[in-house]
Amino acid sequence: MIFLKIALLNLKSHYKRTILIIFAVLISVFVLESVSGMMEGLRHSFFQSLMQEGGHIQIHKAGWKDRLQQFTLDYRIDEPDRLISELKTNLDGLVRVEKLMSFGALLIHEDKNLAIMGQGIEPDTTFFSSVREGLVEGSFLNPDENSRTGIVLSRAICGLLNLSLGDGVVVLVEDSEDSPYYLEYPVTGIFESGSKQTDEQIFFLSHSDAQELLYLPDATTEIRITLNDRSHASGTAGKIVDILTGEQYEVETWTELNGSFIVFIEMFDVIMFIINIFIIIVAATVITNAILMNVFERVREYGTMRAIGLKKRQLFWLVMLEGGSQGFIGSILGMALSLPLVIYLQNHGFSWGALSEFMVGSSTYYFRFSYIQAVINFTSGVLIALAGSLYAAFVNTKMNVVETLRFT
Amino acid sequence: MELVTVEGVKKDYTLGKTIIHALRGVDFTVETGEFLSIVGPSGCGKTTLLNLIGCIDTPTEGTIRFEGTDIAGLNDNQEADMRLHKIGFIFQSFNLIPVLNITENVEFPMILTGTPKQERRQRAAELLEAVGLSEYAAHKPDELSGGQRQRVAIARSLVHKPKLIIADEPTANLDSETSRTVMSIMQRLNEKEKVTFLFSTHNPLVIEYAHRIIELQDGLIRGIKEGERV
Repeated sequence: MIFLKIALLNLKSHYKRTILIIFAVLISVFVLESVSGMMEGLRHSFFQSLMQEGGHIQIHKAGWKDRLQQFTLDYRIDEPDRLISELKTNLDGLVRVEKLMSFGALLIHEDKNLAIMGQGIEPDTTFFSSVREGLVEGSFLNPDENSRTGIVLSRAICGLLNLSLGDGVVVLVEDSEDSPYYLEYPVTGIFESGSKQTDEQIFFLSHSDAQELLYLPDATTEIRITLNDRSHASGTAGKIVDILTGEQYEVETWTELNGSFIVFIEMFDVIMFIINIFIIIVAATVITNAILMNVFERVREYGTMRAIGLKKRQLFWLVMLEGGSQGFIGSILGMALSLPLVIYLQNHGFSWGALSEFMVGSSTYYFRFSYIQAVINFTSGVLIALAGSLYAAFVNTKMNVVETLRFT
Repeated sequence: MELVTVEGVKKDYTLGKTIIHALRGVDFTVETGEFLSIVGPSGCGKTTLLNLIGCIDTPTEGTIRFEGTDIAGLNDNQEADMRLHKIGFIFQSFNLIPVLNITENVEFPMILTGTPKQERRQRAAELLEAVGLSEYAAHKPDELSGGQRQRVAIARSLVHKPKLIIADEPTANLDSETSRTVMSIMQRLNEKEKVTFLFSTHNPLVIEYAHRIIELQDGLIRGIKEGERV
């Protein structure tokens, strides 16, 4: 207890240097926590958007991956309901299996038209959460109706085509017979997804309406699967391949589908790790210098303690205790400043414009607080100060008692 | 009864390419309960000799026995234990811990020995009373005069009941009146606490207080004579 008291009183008596050290730790912890909040947010947004938009496994007809035309209907999966039933019967850990249909279309209203991608989905879909949750008018493909459920468009497209809820819009496509075909749908839902890309490039129909429009009565272009554990995707994909033996399908997991994004995340992690290391080195250097100055100012004092009977290891821990105390205080202050910021940005987010869109698929970038990261960052602050104290403590204990008593 | 035996002790220091022979072969004994003074001009080796006996330095040659134990054979921890349990130090510049108050400074050696708080507070209070500083118990060292600080250092050196107190020029930074007060306190405690005192000094008034005086010159003992107190 007396050592803690000596340590704390020494910090008080050398308050200018103490403030410098605490400030260095504070800045380090603040940056570490902010960066980790950003990284956690990126990871969370990335995986959430991955799960919501792409699922864990996608099944397409063989050749789909290398197709030349993006919206071709040549690679279709026939009898998708039979296939889905077979998968549900034979596989464990499935949360959701859905059929989807992507196609190119021209939306026409009055004298305006727009080339865009259509998405036929099951009305009770678990995908496209940003669209479902971003509904600002009407309803999202009312699942109670089996007949035509209308079209769901973004507010941006409605503005472009001068459409309002309830207006009819003509959807012109090239059907599966390669013939132009169109149907008119009422606008039953308007959304703002938060993603400029989604808002400007996709509209939604129910899967059955899309089948009718494209003249594909018992077919789809994709089956999308969500698992209860994404780490089982590879094993489940292997089982699907076994189940589909004899049929020509491409089965891809989320890691295969999003390889470039995963590499981007990993690269970003490495860059942030290097930045963190750099911050730690700079902070530890500042702290080492300041603590060394503290120690050299008190060499005689330490020498007296050793002459009285203080052991080398006790002296070592006394210096470390001073550094650790400063690290602890600096870490608390760093957390006190960074946590409100991270939590604010977790709730409100901020926009990096196109960069946010690229990184997280949304114009608003949300940080994310993680208890584990907070504990790691807090501990890092203390460890930075301890690392900075280590050299000073080592130098101090190596000094001869006689030398220290002569020290002026 | 011999408390410390010094036999053929030499100590060399290397300064660059020069070897300084601080002690060139010193032999003497310190008897239990003695008040022994080492006198001599600056640079004669007084402090070196005290450092060697106080286990904070090791001789280049020769043997120092403390209660029969050769202190040259002790490792760092054993030396620290020897200092903590058997030796007390009084320094020329008082060397108090500036951030602790007077009571905490006095009881510091007992904190290192793990003595319970109540016991060490009582002992510190006794000694502060003995050196006449009870009313300053809660003060910090920088609130005290030089003489008062040295009295605190004397109390600290005695608090853990050591066998030997080593005082390196304890009156060097004090005026003659304060020096006399400090020496009187040391003499009284020497008698009351039955503790052995070994100190170096330039101060001629110590002859009044010492049992024996060792005269050191150029690293050698030039003579040992009885003090006026005998």
